[in-house]
Amino acid sequence: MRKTNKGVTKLQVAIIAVVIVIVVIAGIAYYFYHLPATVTTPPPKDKVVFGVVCAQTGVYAGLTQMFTLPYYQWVVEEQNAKGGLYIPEYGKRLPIELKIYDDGSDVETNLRLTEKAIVEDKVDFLFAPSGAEICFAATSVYEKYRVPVVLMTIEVDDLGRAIRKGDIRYSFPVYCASEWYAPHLVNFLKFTGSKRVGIIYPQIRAGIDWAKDFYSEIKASGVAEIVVYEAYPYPTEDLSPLIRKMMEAKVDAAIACAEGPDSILFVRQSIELGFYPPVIMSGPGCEVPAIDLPIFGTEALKGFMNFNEYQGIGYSVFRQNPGLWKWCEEHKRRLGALPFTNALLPYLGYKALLQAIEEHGLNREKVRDALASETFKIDVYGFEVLFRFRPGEMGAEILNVKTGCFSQWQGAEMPEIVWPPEGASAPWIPWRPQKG
Amino acid sequence: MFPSLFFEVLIGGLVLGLLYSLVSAGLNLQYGVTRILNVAHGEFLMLGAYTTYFLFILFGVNPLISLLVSGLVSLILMLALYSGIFRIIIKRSSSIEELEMETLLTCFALSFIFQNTAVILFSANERGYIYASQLISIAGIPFALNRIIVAIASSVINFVIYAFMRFSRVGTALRAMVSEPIGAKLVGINASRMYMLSLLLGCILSAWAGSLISMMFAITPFIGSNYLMIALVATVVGGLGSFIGGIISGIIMGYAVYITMRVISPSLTSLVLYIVLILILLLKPRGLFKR
Repeated sequence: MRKTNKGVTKLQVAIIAVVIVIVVIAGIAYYFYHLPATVTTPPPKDKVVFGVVCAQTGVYAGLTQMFTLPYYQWVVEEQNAKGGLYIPEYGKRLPIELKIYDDGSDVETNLRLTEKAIVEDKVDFLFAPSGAEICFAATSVYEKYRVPVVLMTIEVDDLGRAIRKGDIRYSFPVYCASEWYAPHLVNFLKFTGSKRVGIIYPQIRAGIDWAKDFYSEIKASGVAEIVVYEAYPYPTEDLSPLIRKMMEAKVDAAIACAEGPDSILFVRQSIELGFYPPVIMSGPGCEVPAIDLPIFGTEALKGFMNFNEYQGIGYSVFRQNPGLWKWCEEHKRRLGALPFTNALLPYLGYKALLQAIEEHGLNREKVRDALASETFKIDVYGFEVLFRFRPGEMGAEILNVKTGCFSQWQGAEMPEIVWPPEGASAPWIPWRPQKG
Repeated sequence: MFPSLFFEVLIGGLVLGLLYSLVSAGLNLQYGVTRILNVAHGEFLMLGAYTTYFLFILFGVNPLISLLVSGLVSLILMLALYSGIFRIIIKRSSSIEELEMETLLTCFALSFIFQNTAVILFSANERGYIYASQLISIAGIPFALNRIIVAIASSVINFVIYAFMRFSRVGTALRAMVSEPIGAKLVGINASRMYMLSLLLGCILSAWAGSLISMMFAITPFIGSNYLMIALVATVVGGLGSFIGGIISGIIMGYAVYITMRVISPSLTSLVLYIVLILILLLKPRGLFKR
């Protein structure tokens, strides 16, 4: 009988080993893949906490007082008056609590406190800070922890680019940046027949962004000649040298890409020096009834324009819509003055966030997706507004109300929208000397 | 073109410069006598501005008359601060360096407290009123009347304070404290009184500057910080402790700012200002008017 070799070759051992490893890995993978979903009961919860890391002190405290915190408190109070925010996981309404932190108008502090709010204090959601620089920096933290946040005081071109590229997914700014306005400005200048444009801007990020975008768009279009294009230090005590330069250059469209105090200074010194080009406009600060009317009154401002009105609603449109006007009156009751023309947008943005939570619960990912894709029907004192964030773009949209981007004081207690024509609540009038 | 530009720069720069000099005069006086670098100086300016604003809005008080009230309000506040804080620090400090360091930190804290108290009390909204905004023509150049009023008021205040410092016994004592503190004490000048007086005078000047500024610009609780920087530069350029130096350097800075904005390029204003500062520090390290 022939003796056979019953031994196993090395190759066979290797094959068997590989097969065993594959089987084991496949088994583990199969197990985890088909692991029955564990039914976890959400931890007991008696409230939904929103963190608000914003400036209570420092230079942005004014923005907080006027433009951010009162709106958060407003929407939260309204929601709590309904019994709270309905959370599907719990099948009931829970009251909203605002947990407020002071970042002292400092970027570093804001980032640190935002992380603390998310990681240590475990807030459920966040409301945005005040100030473009701080908001822009904070977007990185929202991305890191995947917290969807609706932002108001941020109009930075870089954010728009990052949103378009898909680098920023959790930040939902309600307004647009300057690049969006520039083509509208060119069309407006064409409409008014302006030929000699003067642009002045403060040496800060927002001012530089606005001026650069306006300059290149006007230059490229060839619609008018830019005869004055000057930066000035911020803050400044005197814009008269620049206004005189524009007077000498005989500009017929004066644009100050100014911010708050220098916007007011620009209006004031233009009036004082008798600078009355047909088109005159400024950035944030000269369209806010709470600030401008006590200083200038309605008559002196007649004809002065503001270009910072993404989705702005004119006085006449507000006046003719009972729901929207009721909202304006509530604004006056709460904040002491009628709103600026695009103040409804952040209010709607925060309402949309709450609505998304009511629909999708505390799952931030789902809430983000809802904000990114859904159109919200928001009740504004009896009037249903259709609102959505522009997909993959900066800014939100009101779909069923006339809105525009350039406003103008025309003697009422709020500005009208004068451009573009389809969103205008009143026709444009040239800037003219005040009576007397 | 040229003559009108020349007159415009001549007057526009002077108006701005006189305002700067008024802001810096108080800081300079305080530092010169006490060695307290009062970085809360701008907050007294803010207080003066709000006092005038509210008096005008609520009671229609003429801003020039309200100078009396704004001066009094800041005097009372500084008196309280001196009695409660500065006097104690001055008393316990064993050296000038210690005094400077401790008061500097204290003033930073005070500045922060004042700003944020003002935010709570007055809100951070820009506030303002229109006063004497009609145009007047000087050498054919139009200027807002309020600016000319501010320039004249600043000149009068600066002149009165200069005369007080130059010709009164108390002023002489104050100057002695600036130039020769030890000698001044040896000849019997009451140092504590001089410290208090210089702090009070400084904060009154600051409040008056604020009152005048409120005629021209919107005010916020943070307005003081802008002017503090200007005051510091003017003080260094003029010479720490030199009252007349502070006035003249304020005017030089006013011209530097106006000429740069009007004739060169507005974007270079800060650059020009700090180049002037560096040049003067290189050529006259103790400032233009410090012997």
